[in-house]
Amino acid sequence: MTIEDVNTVAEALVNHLKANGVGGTDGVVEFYPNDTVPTSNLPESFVEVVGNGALSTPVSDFGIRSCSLLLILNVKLPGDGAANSVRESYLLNRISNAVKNPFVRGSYHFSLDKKNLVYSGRSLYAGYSSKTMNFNVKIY
Amino acid sequence: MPLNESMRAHNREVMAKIARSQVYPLARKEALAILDELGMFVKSWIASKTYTYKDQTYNLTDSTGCAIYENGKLVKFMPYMNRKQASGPRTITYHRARFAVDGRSLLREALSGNAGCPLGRYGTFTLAVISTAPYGVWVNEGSGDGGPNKRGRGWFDELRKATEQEIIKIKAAHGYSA
Repeated sequence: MTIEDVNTVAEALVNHLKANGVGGTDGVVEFYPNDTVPTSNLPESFVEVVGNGALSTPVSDFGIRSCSLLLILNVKLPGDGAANSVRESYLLNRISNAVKNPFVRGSYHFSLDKKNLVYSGRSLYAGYSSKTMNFNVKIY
Repeated sequence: MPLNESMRAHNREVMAKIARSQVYPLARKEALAILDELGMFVKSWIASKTYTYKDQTYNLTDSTGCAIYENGKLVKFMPYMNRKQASGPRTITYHRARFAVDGRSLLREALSGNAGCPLGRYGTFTLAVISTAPYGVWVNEGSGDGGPNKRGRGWFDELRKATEQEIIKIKAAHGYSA
């Protein structure tokens, strides 16, 4: 594992989602790994992927490292301020199909934390709703 | 052949690992439930104290929330999320320089990236009450208004004391001593 893995692990998750039918060709959702969300002109829906907590290792020397990633789905609210549940459900369904089983991308092994949704509600981006979930990652 | 000391030590280590692997899933569920209740208490406490603190631009309450960490990893996020949110940043003057304070952006920064929670030891669960607007300190000290109004003086101190008392009650309700 190298220092660059800290950034590339988020990109690997994004690439997996794009390759498995989330956003991409139909342009329904934009992806922003590693705190690259623009400060203005946000799209209708976007997914952030950021690191969550420190890298750690269960062994004392070389070998497996582990970390977590937060995936945050943000969907713009329609004019009345209620959540756009149709778009949310559509995107959550796409994401769910892409990650329902653990998967490998290069030297990264990803598994969705299905036991716990970190947050569901109004987003910290004004005018959006948000769903936040954790991915556990093993780095070989 | 009787066990020697090194075999006994090895067996103790194995048993400790098994015990930890059995206890941890149960302890995890209980710990998260306790902290979840405490986080909900914090939100309802803030909502109930409008007579001691009045929002102006809502950036301070926008920057406030609870975060539950497991081994330094964020597992639950509970922003305060007042019904009314700030429509824009608040401008403050500090040492003659002007700064724009966007509460929601500051809370987002506090949660994003690899900062996690400093208490990252194995088996630790932490509830952090976060309020990232920098002038929260002035509000607590009673210096924000500069005059006799002193709106919000001691507000954060009171919140901390209330939280410390409430965790004892919640733990007792779950069958744990203080």
